[in-house]
Amino acid sequence: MASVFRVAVCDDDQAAIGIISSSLKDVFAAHGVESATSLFSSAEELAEVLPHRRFDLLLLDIDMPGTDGITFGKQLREARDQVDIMYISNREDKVFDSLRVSPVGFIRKSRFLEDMSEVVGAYLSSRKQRHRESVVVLRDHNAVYPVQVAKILYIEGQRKQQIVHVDGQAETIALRRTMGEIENELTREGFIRIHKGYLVNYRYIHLIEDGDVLLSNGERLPISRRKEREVKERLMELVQANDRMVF
Amino acid sequence: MTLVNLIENGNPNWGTLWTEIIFVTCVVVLFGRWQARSRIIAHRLVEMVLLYALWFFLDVSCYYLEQVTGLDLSQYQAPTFASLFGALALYALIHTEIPLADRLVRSVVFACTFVINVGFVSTVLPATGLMKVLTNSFAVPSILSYMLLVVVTVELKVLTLSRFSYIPYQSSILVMFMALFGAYMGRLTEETVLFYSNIRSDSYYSVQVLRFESTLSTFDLVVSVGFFLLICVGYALFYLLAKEHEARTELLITKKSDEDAATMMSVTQQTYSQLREMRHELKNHDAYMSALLERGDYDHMREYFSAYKTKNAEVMGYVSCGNQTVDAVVNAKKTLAASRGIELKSMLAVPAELPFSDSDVYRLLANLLDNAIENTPLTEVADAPGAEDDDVATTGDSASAAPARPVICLTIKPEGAYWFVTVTNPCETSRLRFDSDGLLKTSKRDPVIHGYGTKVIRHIAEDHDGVARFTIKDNVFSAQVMLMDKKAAGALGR
Repeated sequence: MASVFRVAVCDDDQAAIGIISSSLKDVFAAHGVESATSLFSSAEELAEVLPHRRFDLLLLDIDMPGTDGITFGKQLREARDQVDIMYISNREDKVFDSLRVSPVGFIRKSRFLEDMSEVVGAYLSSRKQRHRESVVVLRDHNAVYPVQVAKILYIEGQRKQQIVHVDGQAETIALRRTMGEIENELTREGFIRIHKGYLVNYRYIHLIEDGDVLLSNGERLPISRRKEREVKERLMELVQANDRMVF
Repeated sequence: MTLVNLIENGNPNWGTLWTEIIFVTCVVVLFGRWQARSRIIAHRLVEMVLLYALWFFLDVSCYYLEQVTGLDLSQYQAPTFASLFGALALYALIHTEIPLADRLVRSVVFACTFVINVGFVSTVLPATGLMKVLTNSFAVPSILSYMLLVVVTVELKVLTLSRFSYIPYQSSILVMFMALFGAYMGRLTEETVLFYSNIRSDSYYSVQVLRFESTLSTFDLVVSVGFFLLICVGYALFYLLAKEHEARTELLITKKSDEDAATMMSVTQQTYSQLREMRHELKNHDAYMSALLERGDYDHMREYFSAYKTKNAEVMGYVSCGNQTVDAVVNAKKTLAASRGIELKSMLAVPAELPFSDSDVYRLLANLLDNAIENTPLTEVADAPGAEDDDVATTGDSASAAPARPVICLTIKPEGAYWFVTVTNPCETSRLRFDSDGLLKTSKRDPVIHGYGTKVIRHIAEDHDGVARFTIKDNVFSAQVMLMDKKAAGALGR
């Protein structure tokens, strides 16, 4: 990345913050990224600055007087701020709580040198992947449709054509291809054939139960009984492989 | 081929079909109680009626084949057996979601109970004179299938109650009584139709049936009832055997978990004494470090620091993830692993309360970690001091000759409505074998218990509508478990 990576480091521990930010810069440098860190001693301080300055990453401590790191993260998400948040803390019992904020990583202060290089490394490579086109081009004989893979809910087979359902879009796209062909293309993008007539994006699978797959938008799709176990295993495989958060 | 022709030819299968339908209903009701989901009951019912219909159809076809070819197949009960095996083969092929071994067991058991039931129908009933059509020739196959049942159940290496549940003895006994009723109804229907359609207005049987008369031979009755009692005794015996076996295995498992609990107790005590010691030393530590810092004696400070770090590495390494059960298990296993020179790393994103019972959480993690510890190959140097491979050591000289310790990695985190638990450990691929169920075959001394490790894991996963998967790749063994969070399943909050 050509531009400088802007990181905001927030920690009330004055002694720690210096070491943390310099180690962070070193780790970024080791991955060939130039970074600039801004230091804050409280969430409130950072909150005042945020509307005026954009950061690429926020590295937050959890235990801070006033607003703690996780509450601050929740406030940001509620305000629809999707900035990347990474936590650095000794509070391992707070990891679960922090998940609600969808952090990109969790660094344990007790082993921060090791964790930092691992977590930041994974974060940077996942960022590169995110920027690479996650758009798949669906072709049929008549037209070409570029669609964001992560937004495809599922593909439904209807005799001669396959209907592509996209999240947030009421109109569906009809493709005159066979399900098998589409399946071959999309399997590596995380699509699972749950049923002869349905190819589902694993990202939208909320749960599998009772012969149905429940999607996170509330829709229910049928699943063949004998495939249930296989589909669950594949889901598990995909979730592990596409670990969004490293800690 | 009209309905009347069918009846006129004295085809005995009416009674059998009635029996079958009643048998099906009874089995379904009984199975239905164990799985209170109406959809599954309906599914089974349809499945079994289709199976029976198929059997009936094949049976009738054989009969007509006889007519056409002139061969006497019924002498060897060929039609019945042919159709029975045909139906079972179809059953075995359809249910691919059940492991092959279980499928075969079920088919065989199914066949045996079936033949026995029909055998009963054909032995008792003729004796009571209600059905003179079938002869005692069914007794021989019934006895043979009974013996096959013995062999099958004894040969099952693990005779558990769950396997035994395939032998629907309750339904069999119930059906034996219902069969009488069913066959009687079948015969009555047949005869009534004939009687009132004037085909055989002088039917001896119809008069007999309508008047509940019968020619009963005491000897025949005794033999038949005796046979029936023998079957009941046989089933009871198998049931008791299976029950005892299961009880014994449960006892062994309880024993093992008691041992685990005892280990955990001692580990906790050890931890407390270590913490006390640490607290004590902390005061000295501060003073000493300040002194060294004042003097700018970095070399001594470095030495002291690494020694201090090593000494407390174990205590500092204990996890405190917020969940007491998880903490307890992981810390106990960490110590166990450390005693074998294995490092246990964990990445835990768990709340104070997991949506599973403590016992399930404990059993799952204990089994996963025990397996990982048992299957990690040991390195020569059991405890290399300070050789933690996470050391971004600034002391360049400590390139210790000791090899890096093998690492077991445990991860627990939620995703959507599921929890994912993964344990990886390095392994020597050649040592591990998988059986047909994808479960680890154990080479341990106590195969009953250790083989149960992966079974228990899979059981717990399936109890929670999830799956367990064991794989090896690049000399790393992975046990992945997925469990459904029933509470999260209710609330769609992604």
